[in-house]
Amino acid sequence: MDRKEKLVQPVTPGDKLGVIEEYAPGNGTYVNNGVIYAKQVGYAMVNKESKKIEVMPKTRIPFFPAKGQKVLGRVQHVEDKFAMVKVFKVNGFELKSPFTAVIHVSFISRFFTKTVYDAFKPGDLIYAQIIGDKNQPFQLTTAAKDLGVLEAYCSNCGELMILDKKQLKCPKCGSVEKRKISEFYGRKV
Amino acid sequence: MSITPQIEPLAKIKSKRMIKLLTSGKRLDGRGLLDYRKIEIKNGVIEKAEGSALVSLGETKVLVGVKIETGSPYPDLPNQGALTVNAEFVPLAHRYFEPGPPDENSIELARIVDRGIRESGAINMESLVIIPGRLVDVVFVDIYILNHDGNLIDASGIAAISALLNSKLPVYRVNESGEAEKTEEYNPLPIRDCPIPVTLAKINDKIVLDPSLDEENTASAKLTMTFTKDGKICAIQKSGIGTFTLQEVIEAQKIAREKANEIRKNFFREWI
Amino acid sequence: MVTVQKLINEEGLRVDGRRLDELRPIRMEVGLLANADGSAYIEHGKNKIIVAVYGPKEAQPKHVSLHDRAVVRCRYHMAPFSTDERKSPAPSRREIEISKVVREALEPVIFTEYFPRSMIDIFIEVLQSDGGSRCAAITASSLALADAGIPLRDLVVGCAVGKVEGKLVLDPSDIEDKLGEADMPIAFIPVLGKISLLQMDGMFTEEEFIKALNMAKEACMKIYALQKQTLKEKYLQVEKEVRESLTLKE
Repeated sequence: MDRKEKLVQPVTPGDKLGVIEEYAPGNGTYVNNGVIYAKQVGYAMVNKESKKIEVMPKTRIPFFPAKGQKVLGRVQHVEDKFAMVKVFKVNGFELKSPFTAVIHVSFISRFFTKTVYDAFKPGDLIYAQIIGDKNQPFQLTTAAKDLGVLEAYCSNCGELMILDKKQLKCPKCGSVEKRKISEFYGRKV
Repeated sequence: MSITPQIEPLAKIKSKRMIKLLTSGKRLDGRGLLDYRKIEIKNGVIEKAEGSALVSLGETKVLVGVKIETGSPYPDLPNQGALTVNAEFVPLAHRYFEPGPPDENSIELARIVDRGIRESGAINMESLVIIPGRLVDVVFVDIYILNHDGNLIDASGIAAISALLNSKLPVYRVNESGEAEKTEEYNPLPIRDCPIPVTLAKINDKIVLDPSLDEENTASAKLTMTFTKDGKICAIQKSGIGTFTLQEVIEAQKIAREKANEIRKNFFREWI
Repeated sequence: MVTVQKLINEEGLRVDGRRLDELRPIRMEVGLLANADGSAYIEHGKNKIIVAVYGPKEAQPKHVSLHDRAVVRCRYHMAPFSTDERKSPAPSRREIEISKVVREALEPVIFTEYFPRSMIDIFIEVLQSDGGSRCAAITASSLALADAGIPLRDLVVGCAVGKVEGKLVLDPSDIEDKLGEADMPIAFIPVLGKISLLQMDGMFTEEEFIKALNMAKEACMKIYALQKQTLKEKYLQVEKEVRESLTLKE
């Protein structure tokens, strides 16, 4: 921790931290009638140089999807132009309550994809990135080398497909299918 | 389970003008901040009910019917009659209202009206006993919303007490075998008090009396206070996600008390 | 027949030996349920209430969500064994009303605008009920919300004032509530100085009403201090760790 910062005190929501004439409100604080209050349980820190008061939360930090986060999800439903994905892991954190996101056909790959059916099938595990958080459902992209399908399941027999010479092949029935696969296919991310 | 309600889409558009007007002390319908809409009370509109009243408060229309039947008393109050208040948001009253079991708003409304009547001791419950511990009169107050234009609580409360005031109580005779028989006679329902509810709404730090539906949609919170004939408070309910300061509550109480007295003076002369 | 009982004795003490302006013993705990995002437990007199908070999470069903803020869902429920006689587990009209007023009491402090289109669930289970259970439920719910890390303007405190034998009594218990003449629960937001829940049934004169409001407010400040202490105690261990890690780096 920076020496300029000073650990002040443990605070709970509603604790008065200072006035705006003296300090600048930072994360974990809010201003009401010119007074800075804490809005989370944690530690109030004062940066002596910038005169900024911040509260370092000590509770769980509520998760909210945001642009740029890398997510792990399962494809739920596929249409011609989009697929719905249930996201259950964000930036490596497992979510207690999964949320729904959508991926449009134009964001599947850097190359032209005619239909989502050529890239995903329901049940696939995909690795994707959030590109839109202003509207719900959140929008995802897989247009990068590391993004795409991590686990694909055979649409014939449901078996986990394996990568065989850049082709997805079912070890049970031998059928070959198309997917937008990630470079980490079959591995953990 | 209670959930944050959806906002009426038109409310936001109307609220801008409403708030602008309010700062100059006016309201959308031309009233002053502390003006009540016109109250009309028609008693005895339903002949088959033991008592009834149709109250209009501006465009808000509420019909209350009172039915009195016999039943067993509450186990903890064997020597008292029983009172049941129920509110029905009839689908014809507004497009918000859907048929189905009562939602939290209709339950809340019924319970506020119930509290006003019960806690003020308006009905002399002790005189409703036919066979002590076994058979008592049960008073059913059913609130029927016919047109919803805001302030249902006041309209319902006034309608309920009006209907009770003109209710007749069937006379029962207990025969030799100890069973109650209904006679053709009727007595007036014994009423001891006249509770009047008055509702205020808080819109952008302004307090308005008798909110219309548009105002209710914009208001952050409402406060209903019910007053007895000697000016005591017998029921309070704050509803809505807004807040009041202590000072506002005390001020609101004064305004509401004055208004309740005025309503009593105009419509319930014998209860001053 | 209800036995006639004196609720206030000659020395001015109540049935449970309290003075007129004395609170029942209160004990609180936070973060006791592993599955919930936030949880709290309160013992307020004989009230035993457990609260769990889930969220913010995706609104389910979709159509209940709001585009500019999170919606708050609240369920106040009493366990069948919480009362003297078994209570049917189906929600009663009283529980439906209390769910609504408790939600409305808590919403003003939550920064719902930070989580548009999502939902915050507050589940209140009354394991044992005594007088003033909705107030204790509000006190515990705001702790659970803070425990869930949801940004709050302040904690909300609930407390009731009753009237027994013509005298105002703070924090009425079950029997005082049943046999008393009035009961007025309020919820107070100390920092904002605002009242977010106000209900009353019974009979109050104007002076009594104003006095009762001030009594409840004072009592709320006492409970508020307890709430803060509970939260700080829970994270005291963490405080030590932080201090240690700081001294290591310096």
